[in-house]
Amino acid sequence: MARDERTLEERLEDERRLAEQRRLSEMASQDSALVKLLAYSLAPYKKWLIAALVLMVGTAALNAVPPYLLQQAIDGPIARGETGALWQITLLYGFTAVALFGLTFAFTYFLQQAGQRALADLRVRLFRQILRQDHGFLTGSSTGDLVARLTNDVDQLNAVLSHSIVIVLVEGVTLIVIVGVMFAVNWRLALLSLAILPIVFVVTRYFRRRIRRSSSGERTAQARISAFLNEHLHGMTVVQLFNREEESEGEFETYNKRYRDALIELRWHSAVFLSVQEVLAAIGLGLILYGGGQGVLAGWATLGTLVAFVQYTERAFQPVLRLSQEYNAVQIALGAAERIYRMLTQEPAVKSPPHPKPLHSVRGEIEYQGVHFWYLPDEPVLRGVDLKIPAGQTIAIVGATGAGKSSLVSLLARQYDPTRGRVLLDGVDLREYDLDDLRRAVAVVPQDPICLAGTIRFNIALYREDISDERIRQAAEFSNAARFIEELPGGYDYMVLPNGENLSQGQRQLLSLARALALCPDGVLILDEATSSIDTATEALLQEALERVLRTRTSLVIAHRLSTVRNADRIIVMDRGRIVEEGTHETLLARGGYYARLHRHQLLANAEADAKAEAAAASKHAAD
Amino acid sequence: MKDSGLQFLLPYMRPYRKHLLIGTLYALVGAGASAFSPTWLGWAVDALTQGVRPNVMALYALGLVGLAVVVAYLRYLLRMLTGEIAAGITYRMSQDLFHRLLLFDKETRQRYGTGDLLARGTSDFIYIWRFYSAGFQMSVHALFLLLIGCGLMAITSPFLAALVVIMLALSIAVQVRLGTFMENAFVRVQQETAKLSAFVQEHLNAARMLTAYAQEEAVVAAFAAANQAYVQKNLRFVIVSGAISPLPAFVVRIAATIVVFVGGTLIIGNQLTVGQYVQFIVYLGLLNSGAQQITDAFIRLQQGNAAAARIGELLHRWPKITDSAHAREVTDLRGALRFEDVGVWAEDQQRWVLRHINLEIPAGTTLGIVGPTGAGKSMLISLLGRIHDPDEGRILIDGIDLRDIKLASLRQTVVYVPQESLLFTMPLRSNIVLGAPDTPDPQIHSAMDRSRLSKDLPQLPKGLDSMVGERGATLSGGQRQRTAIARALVRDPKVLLLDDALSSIDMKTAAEILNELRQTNTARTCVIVSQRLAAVQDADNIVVLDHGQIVEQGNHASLMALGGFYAEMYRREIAQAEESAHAAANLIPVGRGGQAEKEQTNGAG
Repeated sequence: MARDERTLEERLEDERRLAEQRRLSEMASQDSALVKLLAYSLAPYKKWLIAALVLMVGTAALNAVPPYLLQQAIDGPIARGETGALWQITLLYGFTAVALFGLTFAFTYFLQQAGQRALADLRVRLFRQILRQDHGFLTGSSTGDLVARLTNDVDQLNAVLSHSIVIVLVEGVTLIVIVGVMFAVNWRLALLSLAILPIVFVVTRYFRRRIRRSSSGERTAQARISAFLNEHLHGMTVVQLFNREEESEGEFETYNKRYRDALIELRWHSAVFLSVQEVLAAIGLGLILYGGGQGVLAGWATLGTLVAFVQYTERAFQPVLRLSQEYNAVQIALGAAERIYRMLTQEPAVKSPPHPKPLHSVRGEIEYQGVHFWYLPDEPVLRGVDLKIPAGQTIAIVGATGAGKSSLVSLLARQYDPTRGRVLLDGVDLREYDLDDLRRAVAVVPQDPICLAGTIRFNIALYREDISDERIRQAAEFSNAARFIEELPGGYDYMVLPNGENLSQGQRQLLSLARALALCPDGVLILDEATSSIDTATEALLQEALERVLRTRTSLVIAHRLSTVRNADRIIVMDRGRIVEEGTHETLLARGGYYARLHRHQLLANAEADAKAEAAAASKHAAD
Repeated sequence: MKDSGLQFLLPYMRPYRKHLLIGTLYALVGAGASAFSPTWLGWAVDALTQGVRPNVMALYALGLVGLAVVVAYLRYLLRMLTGEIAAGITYRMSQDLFHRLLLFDKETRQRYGTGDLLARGTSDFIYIWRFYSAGFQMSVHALFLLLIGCGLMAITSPFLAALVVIMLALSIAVQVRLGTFMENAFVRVQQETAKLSAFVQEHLNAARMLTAYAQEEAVVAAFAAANQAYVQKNLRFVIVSGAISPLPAFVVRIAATIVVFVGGTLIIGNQLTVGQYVQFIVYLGLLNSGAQQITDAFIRLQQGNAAAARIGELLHRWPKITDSAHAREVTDLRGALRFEDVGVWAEDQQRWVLRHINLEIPAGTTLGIVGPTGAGKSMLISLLGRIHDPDEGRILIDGIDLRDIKLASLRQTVVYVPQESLLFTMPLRSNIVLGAPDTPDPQIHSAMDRSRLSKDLPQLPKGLDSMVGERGATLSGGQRQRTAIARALVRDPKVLLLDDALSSIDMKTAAEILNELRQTNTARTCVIVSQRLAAVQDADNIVVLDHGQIVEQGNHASLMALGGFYAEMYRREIAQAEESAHAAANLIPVGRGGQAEKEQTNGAG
């Protein structure tokens, strides 16, 4: 029994040590990430940065001057009763005040000029890097996370740059200068004054650690409340409809209590720390008063020196306290820097080759050769697909959810690359083309139409400025979007709200189709037909446009509508990552296999309706 | 606005009256001790100049430490006391706010927006916490410190004290002005930041589409331009704030300069001792930190006040939909529904969303509601669930106005499944038995069978105990909707309302679920809103809505016979299906005709 206990303890101890080691090595890498990031981003603004640093050191040195002048005044003119000399010292004192003010402003100016620009550059670099990633990455990371990287994390760096660095430098140099001056003026008092500092340092470190721990506890508790509240605000209707109010209130109370306790714990740590600090400062002062008093009485110190040392001792406390305060901010920034750095060094999985083959006009002949694909090695998505599509054909892809339909088509626009095998366009491996060329040759119309805030024109041409109004209009007409666009106030200049809130789902789909036609007027079209229900009138327009569009070019359609399937040149039936059947609508039905079954299920409801309609018509007939 | 925040806070402070009094006492003693230490130091210096025995200096030094211990202990007490008050009030208010949010109906919530409510429920409480913890604590302490300190200075040298007070007043004035300026500028910068992150948010949401059209470089260029504009605006703020933020420190240094000179002259003129001189110089630092604390406290009090006003506004808002005074408990409803000249006015669109709706839904029957987007279908069905209340007319269940029934008891009888299936971060089981945690397993399984969710169970890692991700993220759209239906069926409601709740479910499964509902619906009233006519065509009664009015009504056959709106919709919907059904029928026996034939043969055999 005892033996078991010991091993358990040992194991825990081992685990603790391991975790500590991991944390340390993580920190080491974080440190270098922060330094690398800052160095890299600030490099173009070196001159400003150096100016700022020099001015900061100057500010710090000036901080040591006022107590020294005070000492001079007390021991000099005041002791001797010379008002004239007091004037001179007063002027110097005033001059120091003005200089400190000016220097502080100047270094802030230079530092901000460099910092703000460097961080803006960093944001742009980061944004570009995110957009360069393949779809697997974009799908796998939540937009919220990515936005946080670009905003919060960069802001953390900003805090370090504009605040922590200033404090570390100014306070650090101030401490060094003060210690130097103290030793120069009176080494005995200097030793006495510094005696307390190591204790302050140790105590501060101890409390800071505890405060950090309880403050992270407080943040966690707050985040829990926030997440709980967020979810309940979104689902409030359901909470109310299902009479769950009391339970939810009880849960909220638990989180709320935890938050309250965390707040009080944090409060306790900081209250004790601040009080201890106050006593320590007084002990330091007491030491100087006692030691300096002895010195004055014994003659190895002057009254002015004593007064100056009282001020120096107080001033020397500040760096020790403030430096440790910044420790926390720097810690947070280290995490942020590490995340940004990881993002910046993440090589996109899909890249253009160094020497791409030209892709001028696309014929649209597609071939899949032994294509295997998976996101996770033990979950194959495509398992050996061979498929040849002659130019100009329309292929409808059907199959159950998870059969690999979307993955199959996404390989074609190089949203992913196949894990094994290859995909050819006009006889050339896709990976040999320039990525931008390829993506101008392969248009993807996603199932969920996306709209950006901006005019209708912008939503069709996006950021491409080489697309004429004429081409935009043609695309809109061809896709049947023109009808609703022309009815909008302002027509093509109508402002679409973020997420296309002021357009209906059907209108967004028409717009999305128009976009594909405008941006890729020829080449291959990939279409993931929408399943979500839209109103019947728009549906008819969309249907008509699709039929027209599909006739003109090589198309791969993940088909949900019967008419699309029926009109396709060829139908591919997928099941668990393989093509299990292919042929035309008729041949596949005749085969009586998977497709026929699928078709029957889909038709059941419609056929039933059909029968009823006939019956109704018949009864009407009879009534007549 | 300023007073209103405090007005909401006062009731919460009442239980802490004694605490506040004790806290003030702590502050008085603590600040007194703190204010006395420069005087003590001055005495020590004077003792030195007059030549004192070395041992006496130790007493002076110990006295200084003793004073600090008193200050430290009392400030500790004050901090903990104010912390207790702050945590208690934050807790109580937060609890009250959540209680209020639970009462808010959809319209009230939409008026504020989820983001706004969330901000009030989280960050505003941080401000309230600071109001008491830092704001109150610092302001009382610093106020006493300044008062006592100035008094002690005045006793020593009224002239010099007057000089210091003037400089302190100047310093406070500068800081207060600065505070508001910085606050405003900060808000402006925040707005710019928000714009930038809105750009990022929108474009990252569309990232896949943008990359698919090879737009990366253009988007990055647009982002770089937005950043440039942001930097320009931000720099202006930062530079101005860089110029003015060292101002308070500058004022104090100038004050020190004056004290150095005037004090020095006074000593030379024998009107001041060196100890008093030192005392003044130390006071300047101490009282300035007091002035700084007052400014900080002032900002926190202001912010807390504004936050309290925002929260108070919610706490004092009554939701539109709530139990009226004479609302009663009702059990054993049959579920006969009746609309009497019902109208709903949309204030924001200045139009009637529904008007003159008269409708009878006998108990145990199924009503289908169809019509184009924006016709008012969802509004009509949500009136039955009392998500909204009508602005004119009334809705009766078994002859009782819905508004005369206690919400909780109405919702036992009437279960509404909204368009968007809302799931919570809990195990699947808890999502299904939401609000009825004691439901036995067989009942859960039966509901899951009927909503066709059971077949998905093996796919889930822990079956019923699998955690559902945030807002159902780990489930497919269809699974989410089937869970929402299971959640409704588990309660075996007398009235079931489906608001397009089958839209993400494939047609075959949807048909199966509807069949299940039909088989068990003898004792249940069903109201089904759907975009697809297939979902409603077996209903006992179908209502076609257009522009907020009932334009047609009847069963499928009679509506088809009518040859109006419904028949047109139906024709469009099955236009292609008809064709292919014929095509298919030529090849293999498919659909009902084929089955019916088979059944007949069987029957004959």
